[in-house]
Amino acid sequence: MQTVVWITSVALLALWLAAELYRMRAGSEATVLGAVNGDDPAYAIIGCRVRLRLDAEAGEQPQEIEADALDCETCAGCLMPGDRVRVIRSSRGWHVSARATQRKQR
Amino acid sequence: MTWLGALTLLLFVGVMVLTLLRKINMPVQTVLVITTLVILALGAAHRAVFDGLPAVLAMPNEAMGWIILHPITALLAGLFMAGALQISGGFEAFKVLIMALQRVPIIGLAGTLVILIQVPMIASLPCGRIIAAALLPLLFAFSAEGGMNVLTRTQMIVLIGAFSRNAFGSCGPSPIGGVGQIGEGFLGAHFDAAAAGMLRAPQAFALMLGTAVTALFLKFITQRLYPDDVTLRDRIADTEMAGRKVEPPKATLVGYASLVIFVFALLASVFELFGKLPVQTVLAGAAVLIVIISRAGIRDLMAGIILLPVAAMIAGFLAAGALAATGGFDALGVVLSALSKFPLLGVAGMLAIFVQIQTILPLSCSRILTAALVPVLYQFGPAGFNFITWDQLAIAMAAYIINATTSCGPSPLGGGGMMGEGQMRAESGYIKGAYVFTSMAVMAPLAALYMRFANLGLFRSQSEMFYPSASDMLQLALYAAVVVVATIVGTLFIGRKASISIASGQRWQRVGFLALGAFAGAVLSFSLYGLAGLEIMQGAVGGALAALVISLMVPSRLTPAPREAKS
Repeated sequence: MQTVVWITSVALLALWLAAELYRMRAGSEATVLGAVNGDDPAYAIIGCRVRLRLDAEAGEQPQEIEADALDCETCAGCLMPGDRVRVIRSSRGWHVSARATQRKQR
Repeated sequence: MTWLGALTLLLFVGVMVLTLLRKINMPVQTVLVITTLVILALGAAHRAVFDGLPAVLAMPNEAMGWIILHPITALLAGLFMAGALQISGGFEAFKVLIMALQRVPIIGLAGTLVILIQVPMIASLPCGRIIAAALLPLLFAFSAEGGMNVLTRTQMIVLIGAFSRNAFGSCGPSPIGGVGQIGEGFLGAHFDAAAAGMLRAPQAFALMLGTAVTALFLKFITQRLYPDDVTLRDRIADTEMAGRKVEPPKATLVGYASLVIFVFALLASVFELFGKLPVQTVLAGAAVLIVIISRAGIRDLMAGIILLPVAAMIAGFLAAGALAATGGFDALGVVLSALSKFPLLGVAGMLAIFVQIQTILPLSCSRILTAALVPVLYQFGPAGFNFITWDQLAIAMAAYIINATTSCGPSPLGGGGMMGEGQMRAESGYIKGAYVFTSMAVMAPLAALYMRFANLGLFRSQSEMFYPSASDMLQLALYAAVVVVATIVGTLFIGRKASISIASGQRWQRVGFLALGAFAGAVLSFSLYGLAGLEIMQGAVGGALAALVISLMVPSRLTPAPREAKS
């Protein structure tokens, strides 16, 4: 039984570490525009879905997207319009990665 | 107490307060890790001078020894499972089932809403944000803006606020990596079966009733004190709704299957259907099964897992380890001992303050301070300073944990409650008064009462175990009713004053906080010591002091940040 516990624990810790590293490195940079369904508040975005402008790839136009910001609380507060974040894409849409890479001056 | 312990304790508390006041604008986990490193560096320097190199080399081990792996891996398993459910559309299937409930005549819309509000506690996921993110949009759909146009503005505020209250306390009783498991781990030193869920029922009991009082507070007080701070529209005339159509939630077969697997895994974990197989293994196995049937890719998996609570918990354990290794907890013990010698407070008054500490310092995830402070509470028991017996420690732990676990709701540092505020289009801080009031005045005393009268005998060794008597259960029902009725009367009274004017409401809100904080402290002392006049008075004094600090943190006005950010 102890072996099962250790295998599970190690596998779960490895999964968490992988997810942390993935969120830090993968994805694209984007700028926060406002909250989905909101009216572009100038104060902190406190909803859990945000509108973003994805940085343009070479030769492409900047793209506007909507993303889940479930982990936005890790930015010691909330996202604000103008904050730069990293976004990742899965089959269920876009997600704000764990941390703001650059925060607009409050 | 060494000067080093006092210094590191001061550093830790100072940094936490500065973070809370937003004087340090960094993720709280990062702040904690940096603080830990500074504390360890100070400790290493002190040991190098006074104790020599071997003592310095022992420090990392001493600090890391405080990281308790079980709640961390259980939390990881729970978050893995939640991520798998998101990927597979399990939450969509759940939404469909909730909408179908409305059509059951005996339940109807009102019954469905009540069930919805308590769903987070029933699901008991390891982080309330998971279920809140999944279901808040469904709740919003009941409003005019959401398209269904069946609820008024007030009803929406109560629905979303009460649901969020329930969600951001549901991580406490969760059997899959819940906050309560940290406390249960320590209680296991005396109560053989504590790990089976000794703190679960007291928390669930307190959270269920506390959610109802939150709803009342939001309706009768919050709405009147902040009348213009919610931009949600009221219900509009049906003629205006003509032509608008709401997309009903849709679910796939895989979604339903994953929901069934989740429920089965949850039941298997709680009732040990696979014998002594650890909860982590059951959940991880079920999550892998869901991932396989939903054919999710690795990228879906990486995106679907919430990371914050784990990082918060580890950071909390690290800080606790660093404080322990440098004598910070000894210093805290000395300070609290001195406090308990103050005649007006005594041990009872000191405990009444201590159980409210996380409502006073609400961080984005309650695990941070719980991991750091539960060891301190443990030290009050027979294993440390011997202020209280094991039974009393269990009662104090029940009150502490429910108060702690609900503290992420009102946190201004990206606390869970902000998700609710966002969904009801409210200014930040809108729900704070309601949330801290119910944590302080309802939930902490109710959890203590439940532990005392219904739970203490159940988690002992086989030979010492006993069930609560009918008289115990009657007493629990009676005292719990007294607590709930007192807070309802207080809420209605403050609400009445608030309807006269906002200033009057705010004044009486502070009085109400003090009175019911004192009452909560007295109930806690009664749970700990029985009908002991002196201790009950001391508990009331401690409760009033804690309530005073808590009430001062409730905003009198919700001013938005300047519309133009400084550059």
